Amino acid sequence: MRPMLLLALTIALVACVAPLLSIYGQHIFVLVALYGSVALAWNILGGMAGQMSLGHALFVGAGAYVSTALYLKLGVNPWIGLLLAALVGGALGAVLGYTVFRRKLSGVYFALVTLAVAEMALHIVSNVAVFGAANGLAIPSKPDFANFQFSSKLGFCYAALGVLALVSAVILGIHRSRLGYVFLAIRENERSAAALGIDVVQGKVIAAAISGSLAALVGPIYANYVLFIDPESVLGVTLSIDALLFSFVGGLGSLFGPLLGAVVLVPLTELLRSLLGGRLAGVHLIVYGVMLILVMRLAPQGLWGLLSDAVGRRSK
Amino acid sequence: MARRGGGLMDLLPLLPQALADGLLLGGVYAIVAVGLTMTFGVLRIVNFAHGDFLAVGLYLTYLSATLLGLDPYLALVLVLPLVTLAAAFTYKLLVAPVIRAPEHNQIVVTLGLSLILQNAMLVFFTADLHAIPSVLSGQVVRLGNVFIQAAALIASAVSIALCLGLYWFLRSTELGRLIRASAQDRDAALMSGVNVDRMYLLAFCIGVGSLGLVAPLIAPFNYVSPSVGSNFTLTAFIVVVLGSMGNFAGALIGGFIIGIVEAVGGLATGGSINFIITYAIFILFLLFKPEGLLGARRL
Repeated sequence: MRPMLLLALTIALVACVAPLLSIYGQHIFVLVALYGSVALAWNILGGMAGQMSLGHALFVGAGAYVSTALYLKLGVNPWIGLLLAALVGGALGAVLGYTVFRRKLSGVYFALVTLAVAEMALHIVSNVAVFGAANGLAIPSKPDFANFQFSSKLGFCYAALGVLALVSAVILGIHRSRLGYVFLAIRENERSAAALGIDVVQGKVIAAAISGSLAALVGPIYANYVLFIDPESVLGVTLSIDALLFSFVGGLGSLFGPLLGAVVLVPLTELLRSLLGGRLAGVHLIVYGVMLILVMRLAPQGLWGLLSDAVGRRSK
Repeated sequence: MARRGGGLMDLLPLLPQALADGLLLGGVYAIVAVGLTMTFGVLRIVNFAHGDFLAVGLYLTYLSATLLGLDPYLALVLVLPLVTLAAAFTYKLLVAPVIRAPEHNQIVVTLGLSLILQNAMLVFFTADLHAIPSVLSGQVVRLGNVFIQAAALIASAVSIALCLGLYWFLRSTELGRLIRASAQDRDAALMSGVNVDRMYLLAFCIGVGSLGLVAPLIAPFNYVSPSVGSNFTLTAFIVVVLGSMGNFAGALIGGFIIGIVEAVGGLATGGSINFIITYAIFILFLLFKPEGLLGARRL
């Protein structure tokens, strides 16, 4: 239980810091926590179980659209929407995982299937009136706790931190459980895992379901924070690549490397944006691309690996 | 949606035109896919930046037109060597170091390259659409009720000829034999004295460099924008999976199928719904027939 205690203390500490930040600082805080959560969720499937997805926007988008459409069209409370989002994300992950992994497709085939499914979802949503088609859905601003809208940014800080804490707790829970070892065995060598009696397909499907469910939780919070969603922002391939990128830069093999990736890269993005203003829109993505290649070449363990190496050397 | 009132029968006279458009489009898709299947078949690398090299070629054509006043067909003599050179540098700097790395790492490196190329174009040229005029723009050939743009006809014919030429090159020349040897068994080829690294470089330069030939040819009837590359990458993947990875004939057939599906689907539904059809075909193939129509073949 010690890691859980450490997690709780860290979250409490971070929660105490949030009120001290400026409004802009709190905005970055929310973004880091949300992107960090998506990256951590991605890493359960991509890093822990070793199945690389190029379509995690599918889950975030599904979560955002489920809760927002239900709230706007049927008046379903967003808190219930949040729960439904997680269920839909988990179901999508399980169905997608089952159809792909049962056919022994992995590696680049899984990456292509996830990419194609997410792109198809984007085009479907862009044509469906209930989802606002290509124009997106705007949520009227009614700040109220019951509405899952908060009058201050601090409220959203805590909501985003809550999801981050949940995702982190799930990861810690998996890590030292039987499931964690199943994921590890599948990642390292599928055949040996199967020879040991591990149900490889089942293990991957579980990883996809957990990963999809947690990623979907981020959708409704993002939607209520920005009060607007459209297909490109929550279902676009950019978001899918962000999740992968934060994980790789932060450190694929580690538990919390993806969060570190978000902690470093999200503020960097915002910094570049404010420095360059509206001009040169793609500069931060060039930086991402360069970092991705450099990390792959020079430090395959990512920033987390570099950091833990440095700490290890210091303590010797 | 607006077309729904028309009914299917009203669309029937338009069908020959859509089929012709689809076939022309298919030829271009085929050569883009053949380039991708060549790099995959020989190097076993999935290049997510493939289409972005086409976009690079289009912007080079655009620059030749605006700075030097060159017609796209003349710009060819500049664009083809430049894109091939870019491919050679890409191979040396990025691809060769990860050629034996895990698949994850290879995908991530080409994704990173795609991010860099796309956004560098966005920074330099903004997201504005550019048209590149040519002497042949607006020239139309009429066959009965079917109108065909002369430039599209040339692009498609050259693409198909190039596909066949590359196939002949791999099958019937000594160099092609060496490339195939490297593709089939790297170690055995090395032991027989084949310079495998050189063959990989050559295959990558041909696969990507062919985009330098295609780009000026499609420039007269296409808009140029930074995102045009990623569209082509995805379409090329769809075509390659449909026609079986590493299979030239498959890429040619797959190109025509997807071209026709897009053109006829666009006619029947309008808007972006035809993308949904294309993706649905792709996903169904990935799931139920991942070996593709013709079955996977090493080159």
